[in-house]
Amino acid sequence: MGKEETVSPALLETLGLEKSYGATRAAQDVSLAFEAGRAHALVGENGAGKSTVIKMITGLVRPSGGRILWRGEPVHLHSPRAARSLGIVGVHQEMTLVDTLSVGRNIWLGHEPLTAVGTIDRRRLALDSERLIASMGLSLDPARLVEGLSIAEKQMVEILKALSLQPSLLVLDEATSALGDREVELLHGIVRKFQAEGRAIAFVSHRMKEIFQFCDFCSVMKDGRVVFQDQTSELDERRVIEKMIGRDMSQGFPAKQPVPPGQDLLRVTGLSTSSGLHDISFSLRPGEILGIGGLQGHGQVELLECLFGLAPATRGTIEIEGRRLSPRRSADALRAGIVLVPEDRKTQGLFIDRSVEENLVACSFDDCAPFGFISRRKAGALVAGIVARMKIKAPDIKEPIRRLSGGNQQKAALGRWLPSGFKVLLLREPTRGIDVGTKFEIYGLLRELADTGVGIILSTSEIIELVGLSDRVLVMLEKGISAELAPGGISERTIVAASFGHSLGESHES
Amino acid sequence: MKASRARITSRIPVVFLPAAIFLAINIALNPRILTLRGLNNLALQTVSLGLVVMAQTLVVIVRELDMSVGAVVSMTTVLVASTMSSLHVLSIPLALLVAALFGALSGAIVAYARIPGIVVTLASSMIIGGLALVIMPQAGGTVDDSLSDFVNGQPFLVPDSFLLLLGVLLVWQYVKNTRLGTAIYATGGNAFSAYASGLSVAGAKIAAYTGSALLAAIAGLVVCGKTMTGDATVGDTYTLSSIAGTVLGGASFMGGVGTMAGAVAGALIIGILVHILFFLGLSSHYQYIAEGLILLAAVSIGVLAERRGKK
Repeated sequence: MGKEETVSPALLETLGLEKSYGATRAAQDVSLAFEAGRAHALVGENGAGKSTVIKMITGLVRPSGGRILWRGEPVHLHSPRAARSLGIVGVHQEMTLVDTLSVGRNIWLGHEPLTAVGTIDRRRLALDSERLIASMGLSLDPARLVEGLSIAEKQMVEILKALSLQPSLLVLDEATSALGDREVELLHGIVRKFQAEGRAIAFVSHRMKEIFQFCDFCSVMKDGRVVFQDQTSELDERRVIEKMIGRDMSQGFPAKQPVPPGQDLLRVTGLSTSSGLHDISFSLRPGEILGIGGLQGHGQVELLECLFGLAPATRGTIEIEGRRLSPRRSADALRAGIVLVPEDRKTQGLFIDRSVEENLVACSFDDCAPFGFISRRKAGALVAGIVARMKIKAPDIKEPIRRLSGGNQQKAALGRWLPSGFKVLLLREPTRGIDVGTKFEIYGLLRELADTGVGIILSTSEIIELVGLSDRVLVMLEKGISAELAPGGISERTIVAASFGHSLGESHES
Repeated sequence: MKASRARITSRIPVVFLPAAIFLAINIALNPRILTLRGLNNLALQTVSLGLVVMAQTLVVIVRELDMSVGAVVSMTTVLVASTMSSLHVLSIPLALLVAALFGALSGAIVAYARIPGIVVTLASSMIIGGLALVIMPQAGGTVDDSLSDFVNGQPFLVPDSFLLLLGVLLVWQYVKNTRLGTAIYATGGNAFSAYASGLSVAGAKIAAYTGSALLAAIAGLVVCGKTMTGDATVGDTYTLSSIAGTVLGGASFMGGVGTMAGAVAGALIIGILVHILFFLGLSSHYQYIAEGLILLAAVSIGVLAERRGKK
């Protein structure tokens, strides 16, 4: 499709849109235009205000100021229903499926085909669902309960649900984060078809590649404001990232220094578990970041769980500073100085509805509560220390931690262990759902931690993270270790090769 | 896919199996139950409980609780018994209307003030129960024979009041398949999804509480027909039994799951249990102990079965 420079009136336009939560301004003076036939990307760090803007134009959040124009007319989008009736439909970051209903019922939720007597026409619903699913080139049984679907499948159902409404403006907010390449390609096809039909797309994603692949226009948000706008054809990734974070990205990952030789901090020998791990041997030195790579589901989770005492070993030994350790519950691991920052901070890592302060104190009760009661003074000092050290941006530490951006939540999940003086940090997907700028901030913090003599085991599916951050990499395959990559041999190529069992790098023997 | 289907169907046998076992024990203890009269008695005893369990199930599906079903039962008997001499048949729609208003009001407070339903209905149960006592401090009043005849009469083999249960099941079968029904299940399953999908979460909650109060009022009419009096405390035990029956019937406190057929089965279990204890010559006080034990056992079996299914 050609990109003629015809001046078409915007389908949806925001004028000086603003949203405040108490004293925090989540968005201010946001003026954006979503034009027919165009895909408009909205990018920015987490907490930059993208989601707030998206929620205002889909009726989930009411603006505190400014105006929204729909086809040139001012409108009040006071509910998702109001937005939908105009043709504005959002696919949101949070899953909005009802687990207890089937795929088909979810797709048509709220606009089901009805029979003459007002009941839901199940036959037509099933047929329409099948047709819609097939038109996307997918295979999914509409009768299946959503409960049993994979995250990627759920995300596709979300998208199908939005498509079933034939929206004039389709809003995709991080709608691709769980999708594989094939699904992204399918979605790309839909976006193109939508553009050809004169519909508009608002697109939010952390994946730079998709922004350039899908979108004609890009607006960059920072600190609640739109700071930059241009045609994507005039831009490249690097430029967009610089606009987002306002600094040069070439600094990138923190510099690696050779790990000083010395005694092993952690030594694992011939470890096997009932969860399928077999004959795992490796060591970790103080100050070292040891990356764990491999395709998903090849034992990375099981390994961390075993080290943290969640799945006891059936064979083999774990030694920490030369002492045998058989963790049978997390308390054993913690006592030995091993901490875990899990993959899903919202449900596993934090008490998401409690305050920032309570979350940070949660792992240091003994330090703050000498007589069983929390001392305000001690807790305050402890929290202030963590906030400063981890550079956590929290307007009010009494506020629920769910109000913080993902990056700041992750810093809190890490930082709350600091007072315990742990020796080994187990990390899983530490930057999932976190914007680029904060990612690098977290990498820097991890390196600083390692430099204090902590050993870090980093399990991540982002290969670039393994390459940029690890001093050494173990690649897992079928719940064993297929390769150990030494400092000179860590590259995307060697990691990927070892993930598939090809020996390209130095093969592992110890 | 098979696993997910199995999970739906697995809820039904879990509910009916204990009901069948109890029925068998009951028959062994007292073969007379197999006579038409015996079955009718059992049915009659189960009807009012069945209605309140359905009332509670409706609210549990939207992921709330209704602590006022018992108070509404009492209030209905009081209203009917105190107005029937002057209003005759009209006292029945009056009682239903009052109950529906109370239910709608509770639902509106839950939905718009966003206060947990358990708190709102605890308050409303005190208010309704207190009002019933003010209207009729001592049990009494007059109830027309025709109500009793309707409740206890059995022109078609089963008591007429049993047909009430079937009627409610039929109405529910319809409602369940409308958009309102979908909104009720979706609200309980995931309120945010329902809202983001353009459904009225408030409407679903108000509808559930109104329906619950109406069903409780119908149960009150049945009680009134059996006892022939108004009694401001007669419904007290129904609230907890309704929750027990709901759980036995396979509804989930996590919302979005539950069936009215399951609710009837849950009520049947409790009804048969009472019958068994009666024939064993045990006082009705044992009923609560037995009810509690069975509730625990049923929930444990359900949880264990689910856990196994997931593995």
